[in-house]
Amino acid sequence: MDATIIDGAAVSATLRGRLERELATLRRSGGAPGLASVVVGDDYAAHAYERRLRRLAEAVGCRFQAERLPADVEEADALATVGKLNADPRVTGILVLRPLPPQLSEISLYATLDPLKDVEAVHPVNAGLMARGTPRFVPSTPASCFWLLDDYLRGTGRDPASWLRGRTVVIVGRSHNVGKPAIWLALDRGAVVIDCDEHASAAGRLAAFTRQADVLIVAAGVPGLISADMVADGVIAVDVGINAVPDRTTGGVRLVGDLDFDSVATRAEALTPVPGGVGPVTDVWLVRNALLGAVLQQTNLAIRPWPEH
Amino acid sequence: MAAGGAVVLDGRRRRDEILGSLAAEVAAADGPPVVFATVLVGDDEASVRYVALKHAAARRVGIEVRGVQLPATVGQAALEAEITSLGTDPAVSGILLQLPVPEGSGLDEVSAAACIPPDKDVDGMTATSLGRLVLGAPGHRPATAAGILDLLDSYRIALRGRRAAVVGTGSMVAIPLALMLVAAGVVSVSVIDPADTDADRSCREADLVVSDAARAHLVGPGWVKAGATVVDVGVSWVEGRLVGDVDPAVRAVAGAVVPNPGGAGPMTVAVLLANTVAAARGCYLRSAAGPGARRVGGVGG
Repeated sequence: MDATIIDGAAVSATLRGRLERELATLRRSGGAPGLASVVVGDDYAAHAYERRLRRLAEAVGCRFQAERLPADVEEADALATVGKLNADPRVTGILVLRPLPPQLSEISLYATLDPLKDVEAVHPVNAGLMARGTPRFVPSTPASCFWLLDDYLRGTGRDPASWLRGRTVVIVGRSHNVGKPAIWLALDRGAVVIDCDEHASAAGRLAAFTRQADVLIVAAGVPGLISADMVADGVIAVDVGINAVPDRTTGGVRLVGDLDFDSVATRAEALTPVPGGVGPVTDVWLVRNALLGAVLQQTNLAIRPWPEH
Repeated sequence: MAAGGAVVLDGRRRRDEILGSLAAEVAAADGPPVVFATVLVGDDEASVRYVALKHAAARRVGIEVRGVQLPATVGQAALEAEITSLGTDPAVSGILLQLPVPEGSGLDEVSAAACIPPDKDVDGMTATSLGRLVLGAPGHRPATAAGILDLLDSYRIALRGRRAAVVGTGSMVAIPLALMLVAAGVVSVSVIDPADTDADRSCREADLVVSDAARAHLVGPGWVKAGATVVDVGVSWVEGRLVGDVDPAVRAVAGAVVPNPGGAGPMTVAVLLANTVAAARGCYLRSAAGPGARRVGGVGG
């Protein structure tokens, strides 16, 4: 079987075009989006992500502000930084990047965010609205998974709303920012959702779940966790994992997903690659959420958390 | 276990145990009385009955009741003002907004519920309480879901490593219960739309089946693996009689059942009042699904 490789970069470019048009509309009405990131310590991936977001934001005309705090920052100072961003009218979206050092309570930091600027929906009220199916912001990574999936289904002549009804979506991974919101998005589309995590693989039971998937979303952070023998023929697989592994040919590192890509590609109908799958869409989605934040600050202009296609 | 018959997990008995220990706790405590407030809009017969049940149980425990009943014609602003004034009253520890608000009243219950301060949301039904559960943060857990977990726990029904299936996608019971099962260590949870034609197949693979579909006798014996635990939550009214989602014939196959009535209903009341007593002490109820949750000073959300 020749699996279709879902081109995240192409979908991202289209979404970016839409974002730029929406930004132009916002500017005409006097609004201005601003995205702020908070990075604590010197985690390489967090800094790389911050730089990538800055490039994208500034390229499309969204103000970007990076807050960098030392790894030994006291909790009061970290909370004060969030408070400062909450109060700054130029900031319409705040992204707190992980990892956070042990002296900081993730929950306290999230609960301090202004819910109207909480673009990743980690404030309790936004996490709750998301779980209830009435999101204020849809967090970028799970949103991108379903945006890609919807786009692929539509591109192959299927209506996502009706096609997913009654099909089985298996989600591997239960993180607050990916796995759990993905459950709500799948339920919203009428799918049967099986939620499990990589611990099922320790018990030798993961394959029993993943084989049931019509759509498989893997966000476990385990390189090559899913191989061909763990999926059904014709699965559509979305890979959220980004894992750095040693590259034997170059001696450096390379990025791989949670899918054993070549193996799964022998059975799948379609799958997303790493890199170049979910990641590029995520960046655009996040900047779009900052735009949505600007709209929330400004008016009740009809821009929805989940745009019409 | 009786031959060929499932163990029936007795929610009324467990409720009485909980209310008994709450009564002892309330009687032993110094200080002002614990106050539980309910807000009821309109005069729907079932809603009036549910609120009366909650009041009676509260009084039995020694909790003071403040029952607010508003006409269906109350406006959104007046309803929200009423809830807000209970929210700011330091004497009130817990607030319950009885749902649903009357159909056709034009009231937005989500917006009204948002006026309940999260630390007084003893029913655990606001978006913030649900979000705290999603994030694993301390908070009041949704009362029905927490009650079901407590009942299973009190009968030593193990969840860790088991497979669970939840029929229903409602945000009051099904969604929070799925989250709490994950927190309790199930290896997988399937969340199934009741309209799904393969729902029976998904359920047959599960060690624990919960149905919150409000479809009379939806879950038949063919849906259940031998020895599984089956929890009946959904309520339908057939000829004036409460009928659950689970066909009684399931008892011949299942290992244990939570009956309806007599299971989730009484447990909801017990957790509601346990949450209220905990709220009066400035903390949250210890949940069967996770570690004891203490209120964290200064954290809003």
